[in-house]
Amino acid sequence: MIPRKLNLVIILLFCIPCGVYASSEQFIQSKIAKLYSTPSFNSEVLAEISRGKVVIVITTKSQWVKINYNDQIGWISKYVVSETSPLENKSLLSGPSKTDKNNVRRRASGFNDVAATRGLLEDKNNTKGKSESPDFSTLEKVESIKIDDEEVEEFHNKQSDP
Amino acid sequence: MQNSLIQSCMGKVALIVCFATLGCIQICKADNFRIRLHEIDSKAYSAEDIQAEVLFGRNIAARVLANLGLWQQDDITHYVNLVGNSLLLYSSRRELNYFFAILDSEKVNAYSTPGGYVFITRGALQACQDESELAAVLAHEIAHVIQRHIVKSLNIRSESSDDLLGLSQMISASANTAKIALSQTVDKAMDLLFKDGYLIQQELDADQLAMLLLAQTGYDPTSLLRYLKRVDSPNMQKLSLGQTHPLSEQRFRHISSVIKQENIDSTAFNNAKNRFDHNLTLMP
Repeated sequence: MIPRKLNLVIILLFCIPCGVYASSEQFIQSKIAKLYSTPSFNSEVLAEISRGKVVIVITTKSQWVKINYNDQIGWISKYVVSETSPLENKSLLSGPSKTDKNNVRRRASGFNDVAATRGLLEDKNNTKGKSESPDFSTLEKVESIKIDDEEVEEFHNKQSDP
Repeated sequence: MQNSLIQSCMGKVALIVCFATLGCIQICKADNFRIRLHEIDSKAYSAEDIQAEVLFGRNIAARVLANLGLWQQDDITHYVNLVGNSLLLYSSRRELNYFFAILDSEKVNAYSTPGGYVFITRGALQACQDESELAAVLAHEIAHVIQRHIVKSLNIRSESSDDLLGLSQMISASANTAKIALSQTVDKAMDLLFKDGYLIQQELDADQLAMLLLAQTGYDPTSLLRYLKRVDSPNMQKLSLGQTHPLSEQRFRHISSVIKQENIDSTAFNNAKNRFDHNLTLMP
């Protein structure tokens, strides 16, 4: 009888840490992540989770991740979740930034400052090679196109309209 | 009798311990591998790396525009941007600013450069039959950006790490050295886009991510296969630009397997044909 109990205890001892090990907190990376009831795009959408929200990963299956979000269990695409919090868009423009790797702070704009002094940012003649010279003035036209977030959402919501 | 029972039970216990230990090792191994992959894809990329990617991508985008020219039809470009931005609602890498533009070429192709510059040719746009197909072309290019295919192929980083090429190293060198180094790397990227093409595995990965992106956005994911098969037809192939998208059976098979694996029912999604037709009537 004693060995049987011992058997059970040992199994439990190994099961508990494995279960804990499998669960982890991760962050939503997309602006919207649909929480599906089953790992299928044809299944019911239980909720929409916004960027930066923390979810508990329970398990993975192919392209899908089973999560717990606010006590709601469901499935999301593995491509919209990550162990690190999403980088802020504004971090590309200026101000301090934090590197995940070394946990040190540096000025994100420093890179651009140095690049600019080397003439690598806007110099139309800086990449002479076997291809055409770059056309930065046309690129600036492309970059000047601004699309309003509300217009995008309205456009998206009317996708199924006849 | 009792001794043999204890021995038998202890043997079972030892066996369970062995299996459990092996199981834990496997889990740890798998998790370590996952962490390593994750580090490659996310943790190791700092804000400076993203800036290096954008700086590099801008240079390539400026060359793509110089090569093929911009098709300046504001209303249609706005429409393409709305379709592209709809897909971005459900995509990762929102730290980037994405730009969508139409290239003035009747050849059928699409390109994207690091940092979020996505181009579709006028010919490729005309080859689409509904909005879901246009979304499929854009989603495939967005997927190349998200998965950093050019960045990884050319090892573009802000700083050199192990064998990775560092853009910081380039710009910390003398001005001329920096320009030559950047020029050479941009040349390699142009070769990749216009001549050599992506690795087939990168194309398959981009197809797969594109389909998942389409499905989440509500577009019919099978539109990617429809579009690729149409532009692979003999009539359309003569309009194909270079070898950048090998429209091989391998891609068709892979897309079909994703459709089957994900049990995708195309009738449950939208193709937004009416809206596409309405917007494309503006096309001269």
